[in-house]
Amino acid sequence: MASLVNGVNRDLLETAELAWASLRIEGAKRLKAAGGDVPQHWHWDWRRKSSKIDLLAYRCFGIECGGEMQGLMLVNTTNCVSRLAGTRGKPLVYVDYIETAPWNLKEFTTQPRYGGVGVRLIEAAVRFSLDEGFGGRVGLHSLPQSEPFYENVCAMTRGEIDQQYEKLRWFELTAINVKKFLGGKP
Amino acid sequence: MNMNEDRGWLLTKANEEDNCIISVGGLACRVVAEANANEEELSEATRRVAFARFVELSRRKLRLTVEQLAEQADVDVSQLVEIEEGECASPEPRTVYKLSQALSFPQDRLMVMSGLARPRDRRLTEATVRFAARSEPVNVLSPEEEEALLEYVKVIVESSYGD
Repeated sequence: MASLVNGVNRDLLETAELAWASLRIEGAKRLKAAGGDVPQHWHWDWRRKSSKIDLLAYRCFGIECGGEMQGLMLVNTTNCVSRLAGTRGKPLVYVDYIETAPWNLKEFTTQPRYGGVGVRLIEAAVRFSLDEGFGGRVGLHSLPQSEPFYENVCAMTRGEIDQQYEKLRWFELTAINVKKFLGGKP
Repeated sequence: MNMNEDRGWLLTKANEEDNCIISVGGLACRVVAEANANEEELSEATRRVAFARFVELSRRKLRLTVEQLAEQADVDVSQLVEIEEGECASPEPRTVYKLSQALSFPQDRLMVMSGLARPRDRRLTEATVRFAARSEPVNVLSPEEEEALLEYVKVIVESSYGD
């Protein structure tokens, strides 16, 4: 049974890093060889990076199942605001980092262990936004290969390319589309 | 925080997700941008130290005081002091031109060293770092300093440069 861990600490991040690292490196090599984009955080070593990042500024969520971390997400509420017409400037929950365990990705294995980890994490971001009084608004800069997920599965609106964020595209879930994503049950 | 417990919704969404890669730029982009900015800042500081030491050692090699060089080059003493102290972020092109004449050093090379032009040759960047690291402000030019100075000058003269 999967459970949401609200408030992942540094130890859990580092434990996940250790468990995911070797598979991630192999996957990154294959992706590169196939001409695909490799997410930058795949090169991260949380044991080194987490000491430089003030994790207190973030809310960390994880999906745990079978005694292992299946996905992780860092969000914050101070970095970005809504960029869409009509709600521009309004507060939202910004997804700073999100990743599913490599053994859950079809790019890495022919038999992924668990599905829906990304959906559950984004749902957590939406619920956090609702709890904070932000109407469920969530924003993020998507890597190119993840754009269809955010647009089609999470009902997020495509924004502009952001030059400040390595030309990644802005995606935002509007308060109106929250119901669409959550199946009419916000 | 109450998560959606509708199993049908989750199964549908999990199928749509299809175990694809989920990722964002966010923090990773900012960490990389910050690291790049620190690197640029470091190279700028290193270049400034190298330029300062180069001017100082070249002046001492000619047995000139700061005042004498300033007078010969027709530049402001305070600006020359700033340059030699490594506190001058962007010297005036005229000052660099005048110094190049007074020190009998090619103007275009000195422009690169002062930061007014950009080096294209990686050897020059590496030589600048080495030179900045080896130079120590002392009263008399030691044989090691003279050697460091000559070595640096050789690379500068041989290297290509850009605008």
